[in-house]
Amino acid sequence: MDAEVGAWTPASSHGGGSVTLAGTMDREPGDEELMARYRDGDGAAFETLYARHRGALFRFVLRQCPSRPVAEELFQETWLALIAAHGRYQPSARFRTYLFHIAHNKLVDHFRRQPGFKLISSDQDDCGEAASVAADPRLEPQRQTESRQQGVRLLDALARLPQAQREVFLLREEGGLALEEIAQVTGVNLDTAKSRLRYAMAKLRDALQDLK
Amino acid sequence: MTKPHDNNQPESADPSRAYRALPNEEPGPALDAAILAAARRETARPARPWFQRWQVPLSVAALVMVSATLTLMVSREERRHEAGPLSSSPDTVTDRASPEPVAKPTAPAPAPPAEGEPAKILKKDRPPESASSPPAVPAPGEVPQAESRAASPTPAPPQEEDPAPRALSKPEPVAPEMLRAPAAAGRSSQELQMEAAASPGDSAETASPDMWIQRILQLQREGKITEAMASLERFKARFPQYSLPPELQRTEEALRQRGN
Repeated sequence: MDAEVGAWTPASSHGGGSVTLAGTMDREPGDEELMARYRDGDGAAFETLYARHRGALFRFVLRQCPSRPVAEELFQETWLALIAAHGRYQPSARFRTYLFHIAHNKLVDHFRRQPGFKLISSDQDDCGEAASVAADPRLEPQRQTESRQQGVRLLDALARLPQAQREVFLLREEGGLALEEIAQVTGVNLDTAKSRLRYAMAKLRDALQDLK
Repeated sequence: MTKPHDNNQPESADPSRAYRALPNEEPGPALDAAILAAARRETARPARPWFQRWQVPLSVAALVMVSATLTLMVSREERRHEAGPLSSSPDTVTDRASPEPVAKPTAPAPAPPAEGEPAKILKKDRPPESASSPPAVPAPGEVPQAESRAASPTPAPPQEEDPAPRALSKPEPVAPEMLRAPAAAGRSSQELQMEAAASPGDSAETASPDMWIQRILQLQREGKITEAMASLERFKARFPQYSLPPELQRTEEALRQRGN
């Protein structure tokens, strides 16, 4: 994830794309370049993009949804929105930021359609009143059947986080976004993004330490 | 209770390491296929050439330009029409005692002549008068008599000797309302000019109103008062809303007083 020495630019791809030194012959195209090619009609460029980011985006959506079918639906909606807007794409930000921003919007729209959804303000990030995924009774039986491994406990703790904190953690882990980009995607200032991530990490750490 | 982490960089290895140890769940092949198919459908659409992308903006711009141009042209034409009848005399009501709603003095409306040929009607056979006789100003209500051809140096075309108009003369004085009634109300100066150009008669009378006025003034200066008055009467019948120059206004006022 870290930049290698050489021609690292903010527009370089993340995750699936390789960051190489400038001047190398086998430089893989960056995400922004691929998206621009797709905008100009190169279908293969999209397939490369999709292959690079499908996993991370799917997990980002899945960890915030109560069920896999809902996650798949939102995942598909995210990509379809990207496809629909490809003609207007302008690389004003990193592609990954752009992609996860679309996913964030889809998730927010989904949550707002749910009954009893409460939008958490920034000063309530550490409170327990949140539209937690774990509060969904449909999830409980699924959680009880899973083995009590650290990852499972982590998922459980992650599901119990307030939605805003959970999202920030997932943007960090799955999206690989910097705090500034997380703030941009979630529509908050940098300090709020830092605060949310801090609380999320603390709660997850506490949950994992309870195992010991 | 949850305590906020003290680090400014809230990166902790434990939750992150534990998260990365989780199995990577990924979308199913059907979902992949659906998304890739949608992407291919978008690329399969024929690319719009650049001029098609600019079609709507250019159409809007062209529409705006045409509308603005037409608006400017219409406004200019309207200003030109409004300025036409007022070009001869800016101060028009100073000599008039009677109140007039319009700044432009209106010519007294004589007996309504036949359409299109006022000159024929007004210039008819009348008692011969020499040019040297005192100006025989006809009564406002009477059809002005045309001067004899022999005394007039004006090259009057033969069409003016129309014997018909005598029947249209009205001996009774014309009411002030009729004097002010604009016979050509609402007509633009351009239409009047065209009518003046189309009607037969003296060459100056067929030209623009301004030229006709100049001709009348010339006749007046030459002492051909009767002819000048007759021409003036014809002029007023054709262009009742035309603003007469001050010298002609005084003459007209004198005629009216004499007629009253």
